[in-house]
Amino acid sequence: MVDAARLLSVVLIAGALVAGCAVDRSGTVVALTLRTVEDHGDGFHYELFATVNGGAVSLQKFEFRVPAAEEGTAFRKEVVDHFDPERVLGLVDGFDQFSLPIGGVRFRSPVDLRAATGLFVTREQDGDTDPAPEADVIMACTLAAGARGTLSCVLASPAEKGLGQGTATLIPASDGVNPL
Amino acid sequence: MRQFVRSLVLCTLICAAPAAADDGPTPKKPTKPKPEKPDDPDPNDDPLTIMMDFELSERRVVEQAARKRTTIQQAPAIITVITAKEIKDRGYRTLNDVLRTIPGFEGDRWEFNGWFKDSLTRGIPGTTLVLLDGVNIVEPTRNVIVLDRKIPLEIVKRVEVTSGPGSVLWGSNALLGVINIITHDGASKPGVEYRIGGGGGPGARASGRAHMSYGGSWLDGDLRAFVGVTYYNTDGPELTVDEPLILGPLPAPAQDGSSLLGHAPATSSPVNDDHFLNVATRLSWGPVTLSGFTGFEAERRELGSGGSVLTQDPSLITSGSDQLHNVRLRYYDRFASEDFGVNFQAYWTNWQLHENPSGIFPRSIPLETGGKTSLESEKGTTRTGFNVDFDWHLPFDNHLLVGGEIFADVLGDVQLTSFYPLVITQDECVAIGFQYRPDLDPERPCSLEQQALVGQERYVGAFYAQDAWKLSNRIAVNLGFRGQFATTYDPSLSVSAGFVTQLTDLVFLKATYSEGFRPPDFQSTATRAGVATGVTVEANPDLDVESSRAVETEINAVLFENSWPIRQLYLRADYSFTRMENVIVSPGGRFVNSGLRDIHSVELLGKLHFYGDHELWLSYYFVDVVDSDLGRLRNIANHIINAGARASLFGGHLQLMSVLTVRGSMEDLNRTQDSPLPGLGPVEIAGASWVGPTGLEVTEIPTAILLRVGVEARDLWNVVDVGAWVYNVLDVQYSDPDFFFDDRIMTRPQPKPGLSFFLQGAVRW
Repeated sequence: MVDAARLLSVVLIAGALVAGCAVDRSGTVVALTLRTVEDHGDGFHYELFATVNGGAVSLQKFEFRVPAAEEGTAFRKEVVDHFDPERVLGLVDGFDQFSLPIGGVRFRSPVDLRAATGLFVTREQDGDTDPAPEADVIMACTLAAGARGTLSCVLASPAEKGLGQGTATLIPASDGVNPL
Repeated sequence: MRQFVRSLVLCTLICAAPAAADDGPTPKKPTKPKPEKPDDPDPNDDPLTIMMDFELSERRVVEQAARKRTTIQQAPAIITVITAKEIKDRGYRTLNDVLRTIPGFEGDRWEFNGWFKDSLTRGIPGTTLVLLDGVNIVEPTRNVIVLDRKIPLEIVKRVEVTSGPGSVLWGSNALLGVINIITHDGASKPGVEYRIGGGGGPGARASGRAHMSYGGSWLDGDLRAFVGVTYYNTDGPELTVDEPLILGPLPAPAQDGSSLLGHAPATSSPVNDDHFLNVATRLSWGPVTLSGFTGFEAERRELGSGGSVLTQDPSLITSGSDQLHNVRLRYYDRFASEDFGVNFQAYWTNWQLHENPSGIFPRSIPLETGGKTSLESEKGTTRTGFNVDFDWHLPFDNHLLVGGEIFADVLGDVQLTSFYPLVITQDECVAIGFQYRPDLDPERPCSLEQQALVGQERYVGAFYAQDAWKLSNRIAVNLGFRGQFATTYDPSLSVSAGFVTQLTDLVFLKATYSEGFRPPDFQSTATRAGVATGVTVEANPDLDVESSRAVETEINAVLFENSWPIRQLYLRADYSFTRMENVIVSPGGRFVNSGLRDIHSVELLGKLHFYGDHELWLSYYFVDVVDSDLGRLRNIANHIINAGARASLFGGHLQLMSVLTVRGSMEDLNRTQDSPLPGLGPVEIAGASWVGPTGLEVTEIPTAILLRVGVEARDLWNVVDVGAWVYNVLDVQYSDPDFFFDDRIMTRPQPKPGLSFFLQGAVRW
């Protein structure tokens, strides 16, 4: 009986260790501000891409939603995950009591973006299964080394696409556990 | 619903009445002798059958883990016990100090520049259930209890800490740990004690402390009484803030936005008194105990929550009052040759929160009179309820625990008054929808009072059962479940399982699976939408209950017992993997359930006791947390080491003591003025600049080495103690990252106190 107990203990410990190893540790935190970006319209959504080694990497599909309680009374819009509208990524076009802009969007991408050189936002049709970005780029920027390990840029719309603007910062994954 | 709850309460009381009316014997202490040496076996001293052995040393006995008396070695959970003697020996000042030295906890962490003082449990704040003599004292409005000076350590008999989820036995809030604060009664701290002391230093200017307690027992110990009164006063620490905040959005959960940061560092000058007054009472007659705790506190904070230095203007300095009042009535007895036990506890707890004024920003060009609000609640938040537990030794070596609880949480309305930060006329004030009230603040006569939190009630009922089955002399297993139902959130079912085996005479191995849950707090469900004064937070009444699941393993041993010069060596090593689900976050100021958090934790503890009452101890703690939305959490110390030593000289009359804490490095997301991103503010101010929400940097926080040393002369003339402690002896200037993962207006890591000292004397008889 004691031997069986010891064996069971070892199995439990090993199981716990194996379960614990299945954790995704990579990725990049993406922080955005967006202002006066035109609505994507019914049947469309936006998608954020990064340019990495000359190719486009999808980071997040998102859409705007006006909170039901505020329809017609406020400019601000929630930014929600296109595939999971319950997942709120942030807020755009809000103003506080001093008329200062408030809001921001933050999410984590599983992609390592340390080699990224640029970001751009496209308008995509709902149900589009083609992973390539549409040609309809509504905002873009070139990333530059920001403060202490971040990459940053100022997003702007092409002249013919309106007045949308924003800022973006990429915070790469930690290179490991903080040392003692 | 109220009628239903009343009926249920009445019914349960009636059902419990026969047991309560029984004049059975008071709990008796078994007198089974403990063998002098492990190799001198006592035929009755089977470690798996001594669960009621009250003669074991306090250090090894716990009550909490299984809602019954068992030992640390055998309890189906990872347990650490800190006794009153250890609290005295290690110079602890607060419960957060205590938790800082327990593996699995990163105690004494500050948030909002000292507005919250909490302990991280396995890397996550606010995830520990805190019990005062078995009663949950976590405030349901914000799901926190600030473990600062609120509960004075002189009234504490023992702190039992369970690492890992524990909701099957203890219900709400036991996501990652359970802390049970067991207070003194008239028998455990008999006689009169007066304690008075004072100190200073940049880490705690002008500190003073006084404590008085009396404990007595009569009628052969059947009647016991204890009262303790403690008063603490300090001017607080000097704190220097790099790049102080001048204007910006309020901290989370408010929405993000642009901040105006000052370029030059500024130091707060502690000029205001902080007061803490606490009274604890306990009266026991046989199996019945009536206990009370009340506290009054006023903390004057010279730093705004986001890092504004407010000392230039006393009218802006925050006055925070965060009070706890609690009354408990307990009946505990055993029957049928102690095979059957009954525990009934009724309680009333009230939490008060007052922030008046709640200074936020200093005077500046954009804010002529500074940013100021007040937060007031007349009634606070109240919880009233009771729990009933039965334990029964059944045939075939089963020990069954069953019980349940019913309670009601009532949140009173919370009023937020915002004072307009510019000088305007009465007509202008009315025109913008504010009220002209110079009686509230002549300098800021234009203000707006709004209902920040709408009063709410919720009724909760729960039942649980757990059976511990001793399969053989060396193997025990247990299985438990709990169902909890509430009027405002979905039902929750938790399960637990444990396996404990005695590998050798001195070594035990445990493997457990446990679950925890935490209901949404009132802040996230009752905050009134559309508050127009900066606290732009949206409630979400549809939030799911947060939950946790953990697999834990532990091996422990008591070695070299009574092998001179060693009295005992206790060793423990454990590993746990925990997954948290439905974590509540507030992106964009709206509360939502988020993804997963996976937590790995390795904890080691060793205590070496020598003859002559000398002691060495060492703990190591590793934790790694990965959030599915935020990635690896970088604002926690992945490695923490604590070590302590105590030498007892001249027959114990002179004690030399030290505690060393090595807290590993961390990283923190903060605002940066080095960002190439353009400023977004409407007003340019010399010496300051605007930074947008994406103006971020990763700040490295180096390893902190904190040493405290103490010396104490004890039992002089058998009645006097005189001692001194120096904290942060090396005067290390260290900082905390914010633990709410809010990089928005925390401009830099939060500074922590430097060196301080405290001298005190005690007389008792």
